[in-house]
Amino acid sequence: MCSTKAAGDGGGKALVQPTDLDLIRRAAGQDQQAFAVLVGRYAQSLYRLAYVMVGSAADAEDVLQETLVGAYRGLANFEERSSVKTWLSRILVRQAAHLLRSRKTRRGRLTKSMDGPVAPPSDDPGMASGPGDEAVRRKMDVAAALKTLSPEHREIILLREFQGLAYEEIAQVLDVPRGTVDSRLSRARRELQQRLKDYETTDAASLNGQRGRYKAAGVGGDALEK
Amino acid sequence: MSDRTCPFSVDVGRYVDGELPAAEASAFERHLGDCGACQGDIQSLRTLAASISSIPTPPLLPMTLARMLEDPRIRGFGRGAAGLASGLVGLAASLLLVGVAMFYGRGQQHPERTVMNLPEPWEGAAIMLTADEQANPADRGMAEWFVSDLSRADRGLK
Repeated sequence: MCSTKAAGDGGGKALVQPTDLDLIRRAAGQDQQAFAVLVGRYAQSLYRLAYVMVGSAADAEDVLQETLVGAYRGLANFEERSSVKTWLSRILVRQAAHLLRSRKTRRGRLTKSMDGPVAPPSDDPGMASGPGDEAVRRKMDVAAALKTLSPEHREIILLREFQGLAYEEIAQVLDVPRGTVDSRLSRARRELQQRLKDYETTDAASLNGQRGRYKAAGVGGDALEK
Repeated sequence: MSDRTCPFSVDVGRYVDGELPAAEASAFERHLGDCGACQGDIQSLRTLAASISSIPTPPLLPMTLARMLEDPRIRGFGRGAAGLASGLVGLAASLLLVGVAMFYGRGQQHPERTVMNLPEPWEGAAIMLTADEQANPADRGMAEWFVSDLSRADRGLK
């Protein structure tokens, strides 16, 4: 298990890259460089996950920071039954849940993100005016719709679609039976699709309402068609 | 997905994710050729997955990651965070001694020491090392540097 990955460097000399497990063991033996290399492999992907889960760059940094501290403290207890990615994701999901809970307690309600991916204003007639914009709008709608899901549904969808984890790995991250992953993910997707439909309906109704107001005001509604 | 009327009992999501057992997957694929509803579900799930995985996020800057790794709770390799904290406490105690000695030493003259440029009495106390400082050359060096610097300033040597 403590093997290394060899990769050709084109010059006939093999570059040896330590495996995750090598790095874990070295880091557990207080090798700071090994810990930094290990973290560097997953930091971007973990940060992306944190960002979409908590909805702001500052909070995502906090979550990642606490994840790294948690990982460092847990090095000695790392069980090699799961991958490092799964292990780190598990720590991160818990840290994000902790932050969301404390935020909810602090503000009395789950707040809307201020600087995260933001849904376009539903009454903005300039949105989705062309085929390219449609794709952009859909991404923004998806980001906004995700935020309206329960934390449980949001995290399971992100672990699957953002992190690309298999169901068994998701079960390890969330500490739930595999069957629960099947059913929860299915429900979460249905709910998300329903929210997206609601968005589209709201958008259409809002756009029609605007056309009506423009016409009533004597302004041609053609601009809205463009 | 939600409006489907197809009687075929299978979780299309598990099929799309490659999580169906082989036998079930084969049976579903035979059915799939004739079922527009299931084809639509698959397309819809794939579109959804693509939209989610491409949600824009800011990059994590290398300097931000480096700063995170500077966290004392992580940097405390070897000595441990408690060791680092006690080292700082030792340094602070040394500086306090320096301050107290300077306060009481202001009104007194030690001509022979001034002339000969010998250490003031407070310097001896200030550079007494705590156990942590003795164990850590970096802390000891910094404490001595502070004492030396303040001592020179006190004697007007700067």
